[in-house]
Amino acid sequence: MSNFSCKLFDNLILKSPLILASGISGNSDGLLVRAAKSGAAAVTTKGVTLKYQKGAENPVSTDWGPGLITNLGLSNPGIESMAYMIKTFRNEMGDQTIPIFVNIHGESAEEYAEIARLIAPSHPDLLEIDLPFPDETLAQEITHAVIENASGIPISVKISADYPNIGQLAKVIEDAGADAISAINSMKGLIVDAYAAKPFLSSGVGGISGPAIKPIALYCISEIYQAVNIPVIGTGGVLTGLDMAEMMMAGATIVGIGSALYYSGYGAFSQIMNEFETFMKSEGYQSASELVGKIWR
Amino acid sequence: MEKTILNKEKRSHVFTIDRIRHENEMTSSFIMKESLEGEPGQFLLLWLPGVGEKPFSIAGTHPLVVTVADVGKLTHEIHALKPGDRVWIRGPFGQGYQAYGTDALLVGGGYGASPLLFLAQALIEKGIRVQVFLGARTKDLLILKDQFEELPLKMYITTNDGSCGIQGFVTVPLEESIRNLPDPQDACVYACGPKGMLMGIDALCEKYNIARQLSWEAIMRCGMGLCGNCKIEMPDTWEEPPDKPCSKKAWLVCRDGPTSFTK
Repeated sequence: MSNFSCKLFDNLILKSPLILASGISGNSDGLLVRAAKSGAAAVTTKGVTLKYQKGAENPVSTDWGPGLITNLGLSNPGIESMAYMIKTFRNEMGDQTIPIFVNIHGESAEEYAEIARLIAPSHPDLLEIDLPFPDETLAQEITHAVIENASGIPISVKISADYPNIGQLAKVIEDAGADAISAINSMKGLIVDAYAAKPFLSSGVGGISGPAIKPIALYCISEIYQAVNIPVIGTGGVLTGLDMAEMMMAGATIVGIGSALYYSGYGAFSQIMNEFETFMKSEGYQSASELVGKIWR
Repeated sequence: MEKTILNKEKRSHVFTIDRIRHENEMTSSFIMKESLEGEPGQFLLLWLPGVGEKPFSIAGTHPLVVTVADVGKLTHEIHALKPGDRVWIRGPFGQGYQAYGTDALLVGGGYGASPLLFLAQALIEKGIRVQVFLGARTKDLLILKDQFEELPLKMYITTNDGSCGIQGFVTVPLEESIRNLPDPQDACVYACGPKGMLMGIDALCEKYNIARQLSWEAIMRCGMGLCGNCKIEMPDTWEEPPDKPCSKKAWLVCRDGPTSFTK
């Protein structure tokens, strides 16, 4: 396979631009290892909170046709177990150094500060902040709080498409000192079963992911790319190598997949990379970085 | 190869209960008016709006049969349903049993027997010789005994307390039958039940070098291979497929399984 290594930061180079996004399999070191050995260039844990959270009752997800809807209710083992998971993941991976990103979720800047302080000694390769809701002041406060407590670990802030001026929000986050922007998060949605006359998920609302949100993700990523100078970790509906190339052209430096593991299993990583390589060869691209923001150059 | 998820499998569909067959004090089979395409060993997700959703083995397809033990909140609500009531079902999901060889030894532990009647019927139709081994702690926990008796097969019953059939574990008559097989290389053990039983059967099959298909249980959340809740570690004897690296330590019951195949 060609060399598609890409530089996310000066001190963080990935073997390819394709990573495991947050939310999938990320509560288990065994499954993170499986994703890494299946070809992920980095893995992201599921959103972790200060304390263990049991999560929502079934049903927690379904395929509604053009995409998925999921609401696991933030089920996760809590930040202290996550520290142990990072260690186990690295031990299992041995010499194969695959970066591990930790997605963190809190309700206030103080809580984020505490989470960052507790996870920092485990040295995850990146902390991805999952904003509780998109708001410029809150994003700024949380970014500051995490940076102050993260002992130099790079920070990315994950934002959702629900914000009206996503480029502006990204700029505020960059100015607050973040090293990257992750976009987009799943989008709020509701699936109703007409015969049951009830929402299908036990929580009612859920996060829409998969192909349904890809054009929205591309739009948001291109807006963010134009607004900031830090790299964009693109996520949202990527299922194929072409999807990945398109997301990079919109402005993503690296691309995360999640729902693709439902559509194609763990084989999604090798399948997408094979398709990506075929595309790169046929169009004569030499390196992954040539694609980043191509539609704007 | 993983089975592709088809369009029709995605969302829940309404099924209407046609009749209910009581299997024992705590277990009933719900026979629907409608059919569902699926294979023995695959599972479905049954939803009662406002109550919850859980995975169940497919116990028959034409019409659809779901065998449910009354063990929790949702299953208790299902047991309160009557003919004419509706349930919501999506599926089938997962990898089912495959017909293999000329002799089949089907082993069910407790209500783990629920997919095996459907499997026995499918194997007999293919001309495969079938023997069934039903094990339970006590007589009252055995299911589908009368239904199996109607089929052209040999049946062995074991109970831990000796209240029905042979006293002891199901592996005792199973081992004897494996020894008496005309050609163990042309036979397969199909089992469904608790983990301890499956591990015991796996070890026994390893000893006699006989193929086995084991259907594993786990607490399932999303049922779509995403949440990772149903992840289990496979026994040492299980050979990891080259296209599924590191799946041995992180095997998803909902997606890689529920049925594993060791030849």
